[in-house]
Amino acid sequence: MAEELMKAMKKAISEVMDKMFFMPVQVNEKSGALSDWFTCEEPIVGATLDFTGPKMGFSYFLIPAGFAKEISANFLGSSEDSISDKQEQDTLKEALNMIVGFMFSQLENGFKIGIPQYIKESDFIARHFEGDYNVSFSIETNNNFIAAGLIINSP
Amino acid sequence: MAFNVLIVDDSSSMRAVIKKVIKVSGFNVGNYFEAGDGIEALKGLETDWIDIVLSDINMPNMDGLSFLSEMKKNELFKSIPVVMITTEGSEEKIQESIRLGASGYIKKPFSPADIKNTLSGLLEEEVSDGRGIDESDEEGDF
Repeated sequence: MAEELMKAMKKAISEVMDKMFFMPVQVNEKSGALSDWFTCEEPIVGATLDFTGPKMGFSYFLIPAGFAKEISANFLGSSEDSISDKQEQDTLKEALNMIVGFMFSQLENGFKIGIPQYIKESDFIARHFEGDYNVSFSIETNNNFIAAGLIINSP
Repeated sequence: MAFNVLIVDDSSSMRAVIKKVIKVSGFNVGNYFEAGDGIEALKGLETDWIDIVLSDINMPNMDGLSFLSEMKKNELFKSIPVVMITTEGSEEKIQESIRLGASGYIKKPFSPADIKNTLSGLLEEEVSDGRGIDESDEEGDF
């Protein structure tokens, strides 16, 4: 199951970033504490999405705030200046929603996804990004990167 | 005659993207209406003339399948075509949507062509009347 989930998530990330954000990316599995990944001074924002089914847990999508604005502009086909905070938050939530939805659609294993939640840096620090099974990916573009992953708390 | 579209999705960003794709596909749309969940969408149907609905499934308050079910029970709305646009890509959800009366299904992530092809089929009558797709507008800058 773990191997299947990992493959499905990797494929889902590539597909969503390419089709909806017009952004070819390199997706690599990465280990280590998430808090050590981001060395930039910008705040980190993102989204989480709970799921239930054969396994229970949540998925996450974390991105430096400035880059979040850029990918939101790509998604909406608008300039960065015109993107509101609400649009940016909705875009991050929708990105994760599409990734997780597409991932589980490849598995056909009865997973159900919840409603994505926007998180800011303080939520990211407060929430424990650990479980019985963790997988993390760095989603790399030419000049920046996003973290996404899966935390499973097995019933 | 232009037709009116109702886009139902809890993500304002996704509603904006769907609207943009429809615009650049060259369909002759009169008005776009938006709703953030099934409850808002049902209210919209009561007050506005809607010719086609595009709806997400996974939404708070009233999800897309419950909305579809309520809509198809109503004599006034049941003939309006509904296309589900969703991340819920499982065969079970697809079958349930079709059973409830959905006219089509588009999985996210989608390409502009996915939306254009699905809507073109449903709006064939308008196209044959010369009212629907304007092919000169096909190459949009989305």
